[in-house]
Amino acid sequence: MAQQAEKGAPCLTARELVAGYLSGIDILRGVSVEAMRGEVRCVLGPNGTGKSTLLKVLFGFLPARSGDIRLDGRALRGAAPHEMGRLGVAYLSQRPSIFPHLSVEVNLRLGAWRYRGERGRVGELVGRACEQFPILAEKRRQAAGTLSGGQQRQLEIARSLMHDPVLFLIDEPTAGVEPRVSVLIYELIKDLAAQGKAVLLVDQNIKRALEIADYVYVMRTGTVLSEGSREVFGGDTEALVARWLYASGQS
Amino acid sequence: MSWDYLFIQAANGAVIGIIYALIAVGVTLIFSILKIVNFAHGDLYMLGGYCAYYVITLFGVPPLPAMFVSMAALFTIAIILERLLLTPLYSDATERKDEYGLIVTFGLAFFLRNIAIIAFGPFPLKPPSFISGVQHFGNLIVTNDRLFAGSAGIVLILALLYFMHRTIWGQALDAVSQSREAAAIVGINPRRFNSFAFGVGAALAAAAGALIAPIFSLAPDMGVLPNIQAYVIVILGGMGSVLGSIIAGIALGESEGLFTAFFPDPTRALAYTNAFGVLVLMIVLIFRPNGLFGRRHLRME
Repeated sequence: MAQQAEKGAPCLTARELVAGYLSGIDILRGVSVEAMRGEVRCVLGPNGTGKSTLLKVLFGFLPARSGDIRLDGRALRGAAPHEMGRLGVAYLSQRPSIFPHLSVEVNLRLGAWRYRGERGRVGELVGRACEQFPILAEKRRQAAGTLSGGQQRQLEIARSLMHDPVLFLIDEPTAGVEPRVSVLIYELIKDLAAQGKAVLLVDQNIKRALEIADYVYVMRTGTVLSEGSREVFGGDTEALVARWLYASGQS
Repeated sequence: MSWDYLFIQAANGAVIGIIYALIAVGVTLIFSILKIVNFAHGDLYMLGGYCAYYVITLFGVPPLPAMFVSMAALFTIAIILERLLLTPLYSDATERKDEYGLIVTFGLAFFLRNIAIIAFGPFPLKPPSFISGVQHFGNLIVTNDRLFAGSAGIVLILALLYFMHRTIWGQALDAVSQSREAAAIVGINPRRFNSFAFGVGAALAAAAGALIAPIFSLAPDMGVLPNIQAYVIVILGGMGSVLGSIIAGIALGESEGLFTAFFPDPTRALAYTNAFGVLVLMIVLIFRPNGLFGRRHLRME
């Protein structure tokens, strides 16, 4: 694929993002991150440092007060969340964003909402998703809310792949998921990067995250405290945890 | 009390119930998407009735096409009202959206009612029948208009259910009601569905108004009771459940009809009908606090 050829090219560049929910209170205070094709980049840090907020800002759920977001050079700041799929960005939120009362099949069909006018194309995309994730084909008629946590994640990933995104923003993908399933989810994320997607992963599970991350950002109270490739942090997880604890003490 | 009287009351109750269901299902649809209880819904029903009336009397259109014109008109009017009055609530500048939404729809109800008094006058108006005449079933006599209102109402409800469950737009509407965030993630613009849901709900209310007009005639305050009834039905059926409000609507109409039949003092029975509806609601809520078919609902984002 063309995307693989461009491995290592910057895909997302966010500069000096400032954002918050209430006026006068900034949760992000000048955060800069990048995401590269074919790489998993991981944002770590204690609770309440703005990791999830960062993803929300990147996806347009929360407007940035200042700063710049670019995807392959095109300005992304100011775009609404429902436009992101078309622009090539996928977002996996902390709780799988499925429609629990609709069947797995309808969930998939809605994933192809962009192509709703083209019947053949929707069917083809749904078919391909079912091929790729056989469990979804098996549970086609079931309400999505009845799936297990891991299956819901697969449904969500299958749905987001329909837009053929270049960038995945992933928030705590294994929070509240049993360990066996979380191994599977990290495999899926690794696969995404192997397919040439850029992945920006927010995670509390530092050990697991470091196993698949190519590059790490450590956040503290709305800023990036330190960053570096896995080699820099990987051998020194304990130092990272210590720094993390120090950071929580500060916040 | 004779069997005939009981059957007549049951038949009338069923027709009223179907009309209730048409009104209430719109309130449910709007609630499930906007998380706002539309207290002006009865007044949209009133406007729908008048709209059909004037299309019939001014342009000589037959009643059935006039009903469809009225539905289209109210669909449009409702979308304009939604854009003007409710869309601003969804901006980030507004806190306590639910409370403001409630007040806005209350205000809209008073506004529409008083505009109606000015525009249409306070006196009851009666459009021509959809199908004049009566049907005899043994000793029972039912007017064709009631039969027509009941059957047309059922057809519209079935059409709505088909739309909700079998078309991508209906499924998207359902999806937005389940999670606005997830809808945005798949590329659905949730705000467009605010207007859409409001429009569809108003169109159904307009149909109810047009269907009821030849039976009970039109008056500017005809929406006051349905506003309350619809609210009762929506809670009874479970907030946000389309099927629940259809079933609860028919059940409430039917139980009101039968209550009137069984009430010991026939001269006063009608006056207690509405109180009876609320009594049914209270009893149901004691045993099923989420209503009959309640889904766990989300607050407005």
